[in-house]
Amino acid sequence: MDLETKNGNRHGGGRAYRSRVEPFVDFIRAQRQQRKTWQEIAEQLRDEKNCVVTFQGLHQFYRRYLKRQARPNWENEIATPSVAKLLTVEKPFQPLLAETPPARPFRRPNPDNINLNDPTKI
Amino acid sequence: MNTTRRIHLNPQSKGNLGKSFEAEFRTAWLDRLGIAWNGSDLDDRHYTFANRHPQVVRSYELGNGQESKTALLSLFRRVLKDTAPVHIVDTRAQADALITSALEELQALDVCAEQGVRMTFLLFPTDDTESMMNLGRLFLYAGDRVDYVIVENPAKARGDLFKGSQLEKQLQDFGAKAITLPTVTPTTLLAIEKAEAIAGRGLSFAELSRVEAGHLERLLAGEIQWAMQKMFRQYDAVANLLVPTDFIPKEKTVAKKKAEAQPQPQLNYGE
Repeated sequence: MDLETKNGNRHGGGRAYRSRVEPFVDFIRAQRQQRKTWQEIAEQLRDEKNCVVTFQGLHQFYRRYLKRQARPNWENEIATPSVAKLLTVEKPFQPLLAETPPARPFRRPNPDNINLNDPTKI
Repeated sequence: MNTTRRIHLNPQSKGNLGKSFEAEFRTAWLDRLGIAWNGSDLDDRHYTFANRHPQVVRSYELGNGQESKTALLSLFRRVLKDTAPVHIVDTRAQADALITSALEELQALDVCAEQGVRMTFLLFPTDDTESMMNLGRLFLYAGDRVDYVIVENPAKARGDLFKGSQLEKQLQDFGAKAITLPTVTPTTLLAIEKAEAIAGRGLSFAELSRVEAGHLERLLAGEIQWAMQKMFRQYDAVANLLVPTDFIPKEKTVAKKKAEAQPQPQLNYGE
């Protein structure tokens, strides 16, 4: 909560909040599938991932996370994707190329061999 | 490839070569064979072809430049949608460049080939160098994408520039065949003009050849009949270049004269 909110003047905006547990969602899911308790997972996060969180906080986060997944308009991704991501994920624009008449080979007479009779020798 | 339809075109630039005259015999031959045909008249100065066959020939204003391309686009669109096995285009003089560029820009020869439609160019050799150069250019442009019928008209040209030339040999090498127009007397030609004026419409040569129709005197109608017979025999000989594959006649339109018994005076000396 910033100073302006404290003073009751809500201006909105600013960077959206992002939980520090967010990067470990896959890890948390995997632990839950292995029937680990929230307490155990919180301890693992602290020991293995250096992310300190209470087991209640962890549980609340995961509930909120699952709810968000059901909302299609929710922006999960950070608004400023890296250049590398742009290059790899989005297909580059490929313009539709114009067609020109295809070269269809056909037999032509040899221009040197279509002479007329010499009018001076007729 | 099986040709399902034919377009006849006489794209040469020079006028007064007998192009419309020849077309009259050709249409009569097709009618005689029972082959449905229709046509387009691009001779916007005379419209002779359309006036003589108003039911089946449509007139176009060829104009110059862009208008001519529009007219030819309209013509080819109609022809390609049509079902008649043969379409005859009668062009006016000085239209060769317009026609060639329209054929090129609309890719008409390729489009026709894709649809089994093949063109036949009717070429009229003359004694005029410019006209013959024009003929050579048409040949160079189209190559083997079209068939060629060479129409010799002794009444208009002796053919000294063309006969025996390399151009003639090359055309023959590309499968071209020649026909010769009959020489019709000026008396009959004038009588045809008079008959058309009296009738107040164009008269096809088929109509004129019918004595009972009364358009021409018996002698003059007889000359047209003779010319018809002469042309029919020649068209029969080049039918593969004029009609789609399935319509090539197996029997001749005009039966050849059987050798008649000649008088044998030496057997009569006893009488």
